[in-house]
Amino acid sequence: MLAKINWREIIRLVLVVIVALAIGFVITFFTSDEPVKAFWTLLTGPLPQFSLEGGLHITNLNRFGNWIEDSITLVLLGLSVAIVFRAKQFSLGAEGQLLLGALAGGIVALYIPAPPGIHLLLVLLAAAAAGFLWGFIPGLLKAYLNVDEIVSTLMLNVIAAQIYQLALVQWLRDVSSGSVSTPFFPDSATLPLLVPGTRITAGLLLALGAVAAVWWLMNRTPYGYELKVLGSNRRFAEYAGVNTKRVIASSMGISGILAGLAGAHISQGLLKRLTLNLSPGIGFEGIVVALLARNDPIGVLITGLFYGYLRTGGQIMERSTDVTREVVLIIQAVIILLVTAERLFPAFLAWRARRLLEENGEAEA
Amino acid sequence: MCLGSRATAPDRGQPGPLCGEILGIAGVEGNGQTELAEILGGLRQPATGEILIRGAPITDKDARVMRQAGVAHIPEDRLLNGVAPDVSIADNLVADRYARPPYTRHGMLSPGAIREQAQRLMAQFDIRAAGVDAPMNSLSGGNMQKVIVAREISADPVLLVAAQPTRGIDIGASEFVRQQLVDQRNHGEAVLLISADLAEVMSLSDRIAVMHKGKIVAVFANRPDLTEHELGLYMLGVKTQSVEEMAA
Amino acid sequence: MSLDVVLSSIFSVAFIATIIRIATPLLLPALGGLISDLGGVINIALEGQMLIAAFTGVVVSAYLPQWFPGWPVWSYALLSGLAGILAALALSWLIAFFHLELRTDIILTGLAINILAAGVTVFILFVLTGDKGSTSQLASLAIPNLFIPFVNTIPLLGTLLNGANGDGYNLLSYAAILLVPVVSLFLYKTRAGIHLRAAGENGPAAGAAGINTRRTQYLALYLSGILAALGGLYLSMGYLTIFQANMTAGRGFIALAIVNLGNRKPLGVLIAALVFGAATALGAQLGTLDVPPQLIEMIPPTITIVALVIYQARRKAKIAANARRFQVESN
Repeated sequence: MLAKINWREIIRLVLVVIVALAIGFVITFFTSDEPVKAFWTLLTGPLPQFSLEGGLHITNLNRFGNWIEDSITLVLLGLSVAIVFRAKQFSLGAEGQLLLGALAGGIVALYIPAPPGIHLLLVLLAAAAAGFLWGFIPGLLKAYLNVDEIVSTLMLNVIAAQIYQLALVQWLRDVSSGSVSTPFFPDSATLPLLVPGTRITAGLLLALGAVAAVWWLMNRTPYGYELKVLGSNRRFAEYAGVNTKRVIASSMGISGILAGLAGAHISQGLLKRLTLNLSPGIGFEGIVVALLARNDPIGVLITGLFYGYLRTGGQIMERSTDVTREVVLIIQAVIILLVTAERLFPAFLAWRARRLLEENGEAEA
Repeated sequence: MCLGSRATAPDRGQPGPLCGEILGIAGVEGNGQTELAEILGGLRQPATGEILIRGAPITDKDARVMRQAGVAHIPEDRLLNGVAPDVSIADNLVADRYARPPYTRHGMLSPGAIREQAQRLMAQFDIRAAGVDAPMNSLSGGNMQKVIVAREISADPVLLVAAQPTRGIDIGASEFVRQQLVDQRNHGEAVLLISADLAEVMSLSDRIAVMHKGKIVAVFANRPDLTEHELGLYMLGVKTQSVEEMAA
Repeated sequence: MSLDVVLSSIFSVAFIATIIRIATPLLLPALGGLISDLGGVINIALEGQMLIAAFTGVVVSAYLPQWFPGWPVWSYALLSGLAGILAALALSWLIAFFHLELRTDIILTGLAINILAAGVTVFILFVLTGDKGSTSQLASLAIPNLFIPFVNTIPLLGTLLNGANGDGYNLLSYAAILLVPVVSLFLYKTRAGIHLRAAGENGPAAGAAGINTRRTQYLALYLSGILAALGGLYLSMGYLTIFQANMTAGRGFIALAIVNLGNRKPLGVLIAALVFGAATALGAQLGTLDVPPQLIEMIPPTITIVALVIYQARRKAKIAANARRFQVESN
């Protein structure tokens, strides 16, 4: 069942993005002295620049690197959200799962010696296990006791943040360092660099592998079928004999694995140590990625790259013009609002009306 | 070899349909018919009583167990639990068997087998849609119901529980669904027909049981001179048969 | 600091004053969350509404005296507070419009509003001041404290009634406490409140009974926006007199937890807010000992989850028991 490409849907999403960017531009226009330059920087900043002076060489490769690094995090978080959304659950726990994933990976990196290769594997396993645990707990509570997963995941985020700080400040901290952070990890425990001149590491392969794995899980396994049916109509899934409780709990656990790996990417790939402010507020960013991708793993890869591009462009714009990167947040908010508001698009409405008409005509015939 | 199934949910020792028989349940809505169907479908747990399928009692009565025991269930409210609306027709047709071969082999789902079954069932049950990949909610009520009937009958059940099988669908589809129930009976399987449409019950059933306040209060062999008026007296609780009369 | 010093400071009247200061910006949005929750429109955007109100209040109070000099100071503070409330109401309208008119998912809408508020506040902050961190360059006003005269001469009573500094509690702290019975009266004794709860309990049934559920839910979102705004204003014009980027720091989400921990009742919400306030205050006190404050900060969210688990487990048992009783009675 390779999902047939739904052009109407894609056009709608592209329209949403264009409208959101246009709103961003209008805001920039009224507040900036150089709105065109600012927006141009936002939209082209992350691209590497080629120069022919003194032979071909590439400049600004680090910007391109920032884009890909950020996209790796966003793709993993987007996949994490896509899985729970597919089952119509609502985990907001990525932030906590990410922190604990990074923490567990960091502990293994620092304290459990292992030969190269195996060490990194253990680190990733630890990060995945911590994320799984932190997703599975609210999953179990939701599935078997109907404990609201929004409140429980938000609370678990708070608890995870405190555990992370506690561990870092009390035990893991490198006292000789000026900032609150651990020593740097040994090379055997970090993700190996792929592109020199950037921080693009094997985390990229991790993210691509995760996209493939989630695609396979969703489209080629009975479990993926259960997720889809559960998400469409829980009572139907129960009627058909699906163990819905098991699926709900495990989907949140699997979602946690992906968020935990996103944490490992940040700690083992980008920072190569644990710092106090590991990832301010990135936990909710997976939502916009999954929403734009309609919970499709391949779509998550595309929208993750898109949103990472926008975020990186925003940072470059902030550095080189008088517009702050918060414009990107406003654009993001507009995207979420418009994507979820299907009624907003008259063309879409007209199409629905036509289809309803056809249905009724058929029923009468 | 069919030894008959006995469904005895709301009260003890009450007759269920036999093999090669359509047992119709007549009754004013709200007298336990919905609950009876849901118990047999495994969606609701009986407080007392037991369910025998081919004489064997079923203990853990969830939906999966009931289906494995050979009970299929056309639910009374198809939109509530009969379909997954934004999922394809092919996937809706495989809902009770997706985890078994040929649909899953070695832990992997086989989209080819799923589509192939869908094409076969869509032709066999005259389901009119854009294709096997069309989402369920693009279908008319009648075609949606045909998908459900196709799925439940192709499960090859020992007992088919049909709750309000023709409610809210057009005449052509209704006729088609009724014929499917009769065919099922003619193949020697048991059918339990629950319908608020008394004429439907009287025209299709071999025997008719009347439910009142959660209990079966009368059982008739269907005969041409049975009148709606007579059934109505039992449906309203004015008359009640004795246990001996019911067994007769 | 030794243990007995810490203990004596915990069991002191000053500690109660600290709890009240910390609990105010939790209690106000939690009451708002309670109203929207009971109205069936869970408001995830409390956080963003607090933030935008905190920001708007500070900015307006900094510019208003320049634009309209010569008015009494209290009128500037009052108008700034109203401006903050209006900003939060605008967000309420956005949520209501998207959720009730365009049928978007209310949780996603709320999240979008939070992101919007975080973005807009810092964006405008930078445009106005060239600083992304805080409004330290703006001279903004405070919402005044309410000072109770004469009691300061009485040692304990003075601290209890006028706070540790002896200059009184902020007006908004009094408002928060007073709003507990007010919200309770509104929810249980007024027609609008009863309609609101009916709409949240069972929308279609309430609609069938002639209640305009859409209008009721608009009201619920507006009221929760006002209460969240008061919480935000307390942060930037009471607790501090400055706006800092993301100064709400998750209080809007904690407020949602407080609603649940308080069993969705006004009095329960008050107690739960005090529990969260006490844990934070305790964490700050114990930090001077060797007890890590993080451990203390973990307590309230843990209690919230445990309370939810117990509540749901009991509910489940009750439903099962009711079903059994029904069967016995009907046989």
